[in-house]
Amino acid sequence: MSTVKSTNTTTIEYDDKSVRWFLVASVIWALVGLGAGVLIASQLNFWRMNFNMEWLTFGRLRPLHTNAAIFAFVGNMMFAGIYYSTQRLCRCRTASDLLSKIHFWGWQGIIVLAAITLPLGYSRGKEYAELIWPINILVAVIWLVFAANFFWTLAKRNEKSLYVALWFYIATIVTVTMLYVVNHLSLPTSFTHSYPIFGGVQDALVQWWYGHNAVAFFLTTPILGIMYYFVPKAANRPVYSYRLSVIHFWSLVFIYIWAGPHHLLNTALPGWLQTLGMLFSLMLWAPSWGGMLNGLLTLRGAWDKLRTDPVIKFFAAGVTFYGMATFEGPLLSIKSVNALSHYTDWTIGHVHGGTLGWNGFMAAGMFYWLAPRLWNTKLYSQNLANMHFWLGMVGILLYVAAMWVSGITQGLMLNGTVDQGTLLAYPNFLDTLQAIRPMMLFRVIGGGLYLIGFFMMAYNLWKTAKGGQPVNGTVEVESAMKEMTGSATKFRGYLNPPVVYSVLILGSAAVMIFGQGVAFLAGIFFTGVFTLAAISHFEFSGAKWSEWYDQLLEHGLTFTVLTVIAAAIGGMVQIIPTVTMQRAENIEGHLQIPYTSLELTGRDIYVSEGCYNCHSQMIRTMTPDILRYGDYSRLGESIYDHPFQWGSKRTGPDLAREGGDIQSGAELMRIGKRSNDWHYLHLMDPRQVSDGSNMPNYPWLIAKDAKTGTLMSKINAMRMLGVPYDIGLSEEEVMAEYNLQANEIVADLAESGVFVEPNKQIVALIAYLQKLGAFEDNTKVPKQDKPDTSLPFESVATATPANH
Amino acid sequence: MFKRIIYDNWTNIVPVISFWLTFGVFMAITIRALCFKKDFVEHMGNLPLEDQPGESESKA
Repeated sequence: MSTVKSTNTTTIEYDDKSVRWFLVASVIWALVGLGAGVLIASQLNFWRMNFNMEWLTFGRLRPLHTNAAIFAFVGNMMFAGIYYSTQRLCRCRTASDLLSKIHFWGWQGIIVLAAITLPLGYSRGKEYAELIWPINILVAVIWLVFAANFFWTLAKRNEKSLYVALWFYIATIVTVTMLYVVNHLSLPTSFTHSYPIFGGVQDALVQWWYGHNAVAFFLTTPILGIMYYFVPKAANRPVYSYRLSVIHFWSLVFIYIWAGPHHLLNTALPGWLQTLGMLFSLMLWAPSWGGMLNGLLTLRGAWDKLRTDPVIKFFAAGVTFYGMATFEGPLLSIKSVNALSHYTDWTIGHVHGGTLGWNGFMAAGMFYWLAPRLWNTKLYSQNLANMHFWLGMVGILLYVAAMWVSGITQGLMLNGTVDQGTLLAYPNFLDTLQAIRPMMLFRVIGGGLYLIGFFMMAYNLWKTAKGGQPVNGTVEVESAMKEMTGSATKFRGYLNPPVVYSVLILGSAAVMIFGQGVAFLAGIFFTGVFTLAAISHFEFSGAKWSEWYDQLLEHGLTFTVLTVIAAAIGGMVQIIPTVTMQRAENIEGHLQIPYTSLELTGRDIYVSEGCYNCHSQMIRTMTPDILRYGDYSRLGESIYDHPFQWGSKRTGPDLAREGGDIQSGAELMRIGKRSNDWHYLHLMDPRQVSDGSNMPNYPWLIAKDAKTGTLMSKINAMRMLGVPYDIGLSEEEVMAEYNLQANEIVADLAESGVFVEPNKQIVALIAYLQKLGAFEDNTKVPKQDKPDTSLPFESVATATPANH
Repeated sequence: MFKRIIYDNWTNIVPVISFWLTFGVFMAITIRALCFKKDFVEHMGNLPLEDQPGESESKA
């Protein structure tokens, strides 16, 4: 798509068609995602809004809302911004129109598949990572198509240096690839089901390494890149401080990845990881605010435009919300503050301050700026855009303020004690739920206003597009420019001394850490030698670091490799020791008892219904939590949980101590805190046994059969993941055990006047709930006399001591 | 190596090492950024605005 004008210049036409497509897709999915958000917020206040329909419950729709908001709305917005700005910063057309098309349609296809499978209950049970494994593979493939197109464009660019925005795009692409692949490693048991390869504390750490950095590298870095391009464009002023951009970028990329464990404070996560999570979250204050100030100060001298230009309004407010959210984030990561905020609406308010304020407003600002340029016309209505701004702003403020009040109220009530801390001030969990109901209503109103604002934007953009015609930008490039960025400089980026020495030092340090004996000693030796050589070279060569750094900015691949290293270090330091050491064979104390086949089936139903969205299976090491729910959860108690179910939000009580011992006279049936018929009634109509509950009814659980067709492959998968099921177990034995336990529960229910068939889902789910928290204490039993915890299940039933 | 780290409570020192490592990177980048030449900084800061004069549109 380029024509030679003269011997010296070439006219290049940009591919703005892809930008238009992504923009339109983003607006459509924003309406879907925000609409789903308003619906599920309503469900928390009015349980009838679940409509007694399985595919419309809060547990199934909440993942739809989060995935639509993150990957559909912000994802498409990000691609629109990246495709538009990258072409202009590289002064060349996107490398491949075909790859752009595959990227666009592939991404929309993934979103449609997600929108179908999540309400149907196909879920991996991990937040923001719920999609089933075939869709995960599709996501990885399409992301690589995007990456290939982007890096290919960088390779053929007609601009010597990489501008700041491109650094953030590079960090986004490589880090999201790393995070997504590691957190989605799964062992399939069927086409629609898999178990994550990590379990318990390992899964918790990997999940929040991913989850926190999805915020960092999907919702923050690409939007920062967009900020660095579009804010100077809208204000018509250069970025406030390029130097600050450099510091901001490298420190953000290096620090962010370490902060994941702040989602697991006061839990069974090892203390050193909690310390790291808190420490690095606090350190994030500096780079985050560096970025915010750089964005805001870019508007210096253009503040008068705030009165008239809705684009500047949205950008200024968006960057300010980024600053507010990144101030609040480290605050919530302080362990003692987190003791109050965790599991409450405070966290929800914090997240939505970022999503609605930072992502949503930056998206709106970018769309209002782009639409007139993409369709070669004026914005249809400035007034409508201004009205959208104020409606959205009031919506956010209502939402966030309601969630702050709600979160702090519930946190204080749940943690409140009397009689010198020996008794709970509010022992009934539902009292705390009733107290926050007015705030939950304000959330619906605030979210509704924000949604109306987006409908106004959609109408405005549609009218704008209708009043203009699609155009592609063009640019004239000097032919000589191409030669300048040609092969002569191709390998200089690799061969510059800082890069070579960094690779050698990191490589020998890795040999030192992982090696044994001679390799270990060689690792120490070479780490020292290469470090000294690097210092000597720097001292004697007289080379200037500035020249080396300039080369780095001219060489995209080297820059990318360094970004990967900076982003990977934090994850490696945290994950490798955890995955290596926190295995069942190393656990002393409480060790989880594996689930029976019926309990495992019930667990899969629990995961499928999205119960983790409201209930935690982790009792924190805090006195009020222990008083309310029972003894705090130990690290070994969830070691066989694939996926872990520690949760992140508490709309209902913690369930980690719900289960109990095997009932006297029964072979496999357990009875915990509550009877089987209590659980039955609670699932059919929660208000019968818990007055004022906002939980949905689950009538389909007594109508639908539990799936047992893939049970054997599930047990085989679990065995491969290290759960000690007997290797010689046949399918007949598994089903015999399954039926035995199911019949025991059915008989027990019948004694209470509840009649249900043993093959129904509710029986399996009750079996799982009655098992929660069951463990053996392996410190009291000499190693050689330890009970056999492997299946067949009789041995488990008879050999394990009581768990309560 | 990691067994020694876990069993000897070496983990207590990991946050300290991590902090100083990060602090070192942060300081190195800061010093580097402060030493940039003025004309380079101006060129890079203006980069998103530099293509404006030559830019035009054509019908898609």
